[in-house]
Amino acid sequence: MKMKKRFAFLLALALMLTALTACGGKTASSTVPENTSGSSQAEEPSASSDYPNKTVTIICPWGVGGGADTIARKITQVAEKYFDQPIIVENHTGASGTIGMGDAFDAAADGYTLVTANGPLFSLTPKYVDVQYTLDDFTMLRGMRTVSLMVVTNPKTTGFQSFDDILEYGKSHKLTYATSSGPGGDQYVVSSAAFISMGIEAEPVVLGSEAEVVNAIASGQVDLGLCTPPSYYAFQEEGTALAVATFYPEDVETKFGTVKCMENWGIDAIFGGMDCLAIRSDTPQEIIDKLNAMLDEVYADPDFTDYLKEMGYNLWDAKGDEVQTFIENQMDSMERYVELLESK
Amino acid sequence: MLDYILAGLEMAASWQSILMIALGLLSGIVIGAIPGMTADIGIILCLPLTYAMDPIPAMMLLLGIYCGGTYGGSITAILINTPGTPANAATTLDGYPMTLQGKSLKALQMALYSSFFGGIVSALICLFAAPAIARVAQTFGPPEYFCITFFGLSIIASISGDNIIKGIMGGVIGIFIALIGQDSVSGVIRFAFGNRKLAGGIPLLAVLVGLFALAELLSRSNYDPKNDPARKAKIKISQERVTWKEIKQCFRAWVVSSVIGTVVGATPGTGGGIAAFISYDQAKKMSKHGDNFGKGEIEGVAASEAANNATTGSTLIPLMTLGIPGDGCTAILIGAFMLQGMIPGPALFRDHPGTLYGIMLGLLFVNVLMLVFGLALTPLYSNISRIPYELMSALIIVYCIAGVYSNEGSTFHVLLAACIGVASFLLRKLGFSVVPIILGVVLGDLVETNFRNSMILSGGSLSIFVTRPFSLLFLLLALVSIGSFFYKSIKKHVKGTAPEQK
Repeated sequence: MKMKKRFAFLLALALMLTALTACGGKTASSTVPENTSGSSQAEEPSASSDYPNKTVTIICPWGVGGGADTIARKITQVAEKYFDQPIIVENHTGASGTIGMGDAFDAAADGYTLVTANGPLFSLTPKYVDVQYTLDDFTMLRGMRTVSLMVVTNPKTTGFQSFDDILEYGKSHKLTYATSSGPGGDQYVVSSAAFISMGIEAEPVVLGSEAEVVNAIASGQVDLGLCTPPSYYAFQEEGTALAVATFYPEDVETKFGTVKCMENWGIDAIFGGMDCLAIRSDTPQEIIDKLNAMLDEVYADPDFTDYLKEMGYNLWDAKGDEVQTFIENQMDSMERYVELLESK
Repeated sequence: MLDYILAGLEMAASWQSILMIALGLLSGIVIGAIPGMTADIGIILCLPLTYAMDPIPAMMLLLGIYCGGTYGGSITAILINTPGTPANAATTLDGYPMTLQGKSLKALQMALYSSFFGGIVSALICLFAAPAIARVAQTFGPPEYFCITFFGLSIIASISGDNIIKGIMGGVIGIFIALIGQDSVSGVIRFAFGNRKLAGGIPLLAVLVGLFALAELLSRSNYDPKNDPARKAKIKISQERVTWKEIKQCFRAWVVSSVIGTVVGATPGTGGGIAAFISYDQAKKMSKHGDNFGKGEIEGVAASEAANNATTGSTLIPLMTLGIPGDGCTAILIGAFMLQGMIPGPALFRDHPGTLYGIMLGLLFVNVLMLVFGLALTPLYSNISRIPYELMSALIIVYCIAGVYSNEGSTFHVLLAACIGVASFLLRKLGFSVVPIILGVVLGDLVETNFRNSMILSGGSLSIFVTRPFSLLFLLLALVSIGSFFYKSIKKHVKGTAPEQK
């Protein structure tokens, strides 16, 4: 009898764990307050007038802790003050971000699913991965941040003091450079195109994370590296890293002064990194307006802006149209670079 | 530094921190013990809970899951021959044979003590030597990573059981599985046969579930509850506990494994699995009972469990000082730091020294509490093997499939796991051990990528591996390890049928 009881207990425990397994996975969602589960059962809103009446999800196609993820999570935190319903972030990772984009594309156009997107998801990734979506399927809501990709070197080990030194040296020598993006990735394509247009032979060392890239530069393992501010700042203070040029479309102001863009050397290798919030384009305008009003409040809140500043992120408060144009321009330039690489 | 330690102690010893450690450990142990769920998933699930917390309780919750998960994986490795996480794969080698001998309680206890020992050593090293180790780790690059992973591969010899040829074949099969998908250096898609889903590679979790859990279930598919010899004979689970003699016997293995675990953990991109395998190999070579390894030797459990938990503290060193994650779990911990407004990297020790010392001291508490919980819970789950197999097998299948599916929300991966399960079943029938296969899968990609990156750095010259001090050191260790294996087997061969000494 006692045995039986104990067995029943174990079985119950096991069933509980089964339930726990079912909610596992690469999704990072916060617990939803009780009251919303009730209202979500009351069927989805037929009119957009009662929007929002349940939890809104932001899909992040990349892992926890990246720039887009961190900023999106901060938005959800600050938005609690301005939005009637909780907003949560879920990470749907894999296949260079196209899994998350595919999920956002498959979701209903009811305003309850947003996605953090970037330029390459439209301009580059579709060239290598089959995707169902196009730029027309999404409306850009708001920019999140800009990211300027820098060419960084260690003046102490390489002796390079400027980008001109590198161009000069590269004429007669092969260079090694570290990057955290593999083949088909944005950094990889742009930098390969850049080196071709400079007439320099350079081989990439693909490392797992940007911190490893910075470390490889600072410890003198590679000649150059591609990284974004502020990852290399601590080393630039020590003098073991120096940003000499940027792929961003224009010159970039950093903590250590202006970094010139590639155009100054007549090199056609432009890449403006950015993250933005997007939603399915057939979402009712009324809902898009409500979301924009919420984002206006969040972007004006010092809680949000101070956090970004503290983390060294460059807030990009661009409206939807501006983001759209930015991506369209990038699609043109990426087209050229991929052609250039394939002709080689 | 003392000021920081005292300030940190104050924060780490608060009731909020202790509560979070307890919560983290309990969920970590459960999550780690479920095949198909790893500590990574537990950390991701709990991450949103930490938004509103102060940095130290937040990190305590996550570190509790991390350490608890690494230990919890040993429970299923010992009881049902299925490692809960990849880091516990080496534990199956001796843990499961011990269960078959009715010594499951003893094996579970040894796993707990060893995890505690490894964890404490690692936490102490992290606390007192982090800056020094960081300076060394900073000079590590692809050549060093290659030599350590090569060292890892070199131990296939000692974990392949009786048949070394089959062991090597298994390792090669594992490496082949790791090759499937996009090549990280040139971008070429290999062995995908035009299947877009295969181009993403085969996830480790699907391999783990298929190789161990599903194959184990298949091989017992002719099980008949009415004819279970174990049930007929009413084999009692021995209540025999770990003795002082055994602790003394394992002490050397603990120390060596903790050091190995700490070094491997501090090396980015490696992780608990490699540490456990290398330590198991070393323990086998140094032990008086070396020939008993793989047949239920308690030192084998001690070595692999001390080593994988010894990585938990030292992975924090490159994480906090350089911003480089040591394994998958710590990659997510970086996110947790960021959400607290702390950017892992060289500036972290300068800007938040008090918080960091709080976290490192908290890690000591995590390990102490892990021991307490473990002691209370071990008698409970040693009873898991009492659950009738016909029920247990159904539960295992459900966990495994749910785990593999939820990892990327992909039914294709469930299918893959099933295929790997069938293949693994056939290989077992042909007398292969599956442990070298998982070793090949874990290391294959790392060995290749780091070798090729090294070649790019050196312009194609192999000398890069011997001109850098640490890479030379690791390479020599690997060669000594291989050499000693051949030396021993030749010696054995020469002795022929002479009775074994000792």
